[in-house]
Amino acid sequence: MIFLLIVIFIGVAFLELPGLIKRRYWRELKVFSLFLLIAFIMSLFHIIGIPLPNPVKEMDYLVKDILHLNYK
Amino acid sequence: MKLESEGTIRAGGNRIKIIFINIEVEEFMRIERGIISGEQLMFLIIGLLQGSTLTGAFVSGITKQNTWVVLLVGFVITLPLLLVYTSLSRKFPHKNLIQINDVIYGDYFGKVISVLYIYFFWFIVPANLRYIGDFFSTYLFTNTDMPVFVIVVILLCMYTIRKGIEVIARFVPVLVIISLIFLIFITIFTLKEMHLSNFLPLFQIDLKDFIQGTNVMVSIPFGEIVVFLMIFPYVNNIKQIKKSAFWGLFIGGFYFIIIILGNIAVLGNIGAIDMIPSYQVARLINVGEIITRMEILIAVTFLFNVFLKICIFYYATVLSIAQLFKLREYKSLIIPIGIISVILSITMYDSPVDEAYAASTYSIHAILFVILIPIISLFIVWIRKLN
Repeated sequence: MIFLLIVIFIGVAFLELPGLIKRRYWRELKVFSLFLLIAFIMSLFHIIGIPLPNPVKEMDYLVKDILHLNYK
Repeated sequence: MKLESEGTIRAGGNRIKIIFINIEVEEFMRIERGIISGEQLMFLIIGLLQGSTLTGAFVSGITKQNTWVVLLVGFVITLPLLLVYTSLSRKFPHKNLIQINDVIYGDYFGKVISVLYIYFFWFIVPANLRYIGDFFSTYLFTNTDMPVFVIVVILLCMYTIRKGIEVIARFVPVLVIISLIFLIFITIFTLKEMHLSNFLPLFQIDLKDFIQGTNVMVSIPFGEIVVFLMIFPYVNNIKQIKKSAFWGLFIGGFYFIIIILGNIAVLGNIGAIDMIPSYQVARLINVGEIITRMEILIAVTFLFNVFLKICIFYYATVLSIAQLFKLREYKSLIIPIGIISVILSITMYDSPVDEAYAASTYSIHAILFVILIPIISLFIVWIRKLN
């Protein structure tokens, strides 16, 4: 499963990188690599079972326990 | 940035003087080069509202047979809000939301507001992916896992967004008109199932439920129009934006109220127990044992509408991130953001029940993005006399 994941991410990199390098878009290359790295870490954590930060839970916590704005 | 320059060219012995004055440099450095027309903007807004129509069950659980009252109140509240959005886009023509934030709040605080908006746009992508995946894996393909549908939909969205806003705007009218035809078809065939007694008792709502219902109505279906601040600058005729946006809101709101009234008239107050009440309504169609099982039409409409909604928000997310980092193109960001959205959509809720529960807190925090920040922005523009 992890092997398949690595293959998919290498495929994505090969799909995007040649165009960026050819046009010398270094800034775009940096941002793309940053987001691809985040995506890879998140997928890896999901596959090997490490819990990820959940935006819904944090939103619930902020609205209910800190601001006390909930309806019920 | 203003560019003023003067140049001379010698052509055939005659001196030709060329003067470039007041050329907006940003116009040539725009990330998105596509241009859409006012009519296409109208169809985009109708499509966005249609995408929220079938998720109206969030409100039906709170206000039951009086959902249509809440819908009308929410619609009336949205009219001045849309006026705020369109006047913001008129004050800053050819500037999208991220650039507007930079001008209004300054370089640093503007970035903070922009990051908050990116979070808001991005949150809707995995939430809707999850919704569509849950629907298909619960109702239609019960033996298939949810991630399969999520991945198929996001692959299609990636392909669409790589083609740019022009392509999205061009296929929208087709999907909107197909949805309208299905709506008319289903309304005609369920006429004999409708009972007006299902609307009783009229206006019997608690004040608290009424406020909550209105809040959900304003923040989930209607307030999401704030995403069009990212798309308004690509409309070719600036003067037409206001008119097109209001027509879109009117037609989308009309579609919405027809669906909600039909659902209440057929199902009454038990409509709230279903994930998509319209699906339950379409199941009841039975014309002489021949025309039956029309619920698949609702499933197809749902797929079209939610696909469109995901496309609009996905596009806005990618464009905002590219604008925030001041990139020259946004296409390379599409795949990483899509992968992160898929992972988030799989892990964000433990079950569909969780999802309905989260709508109550989501609607509260959306007030910040939908109502407060745009009004404060317009107020600051008015005080500082920015133009």
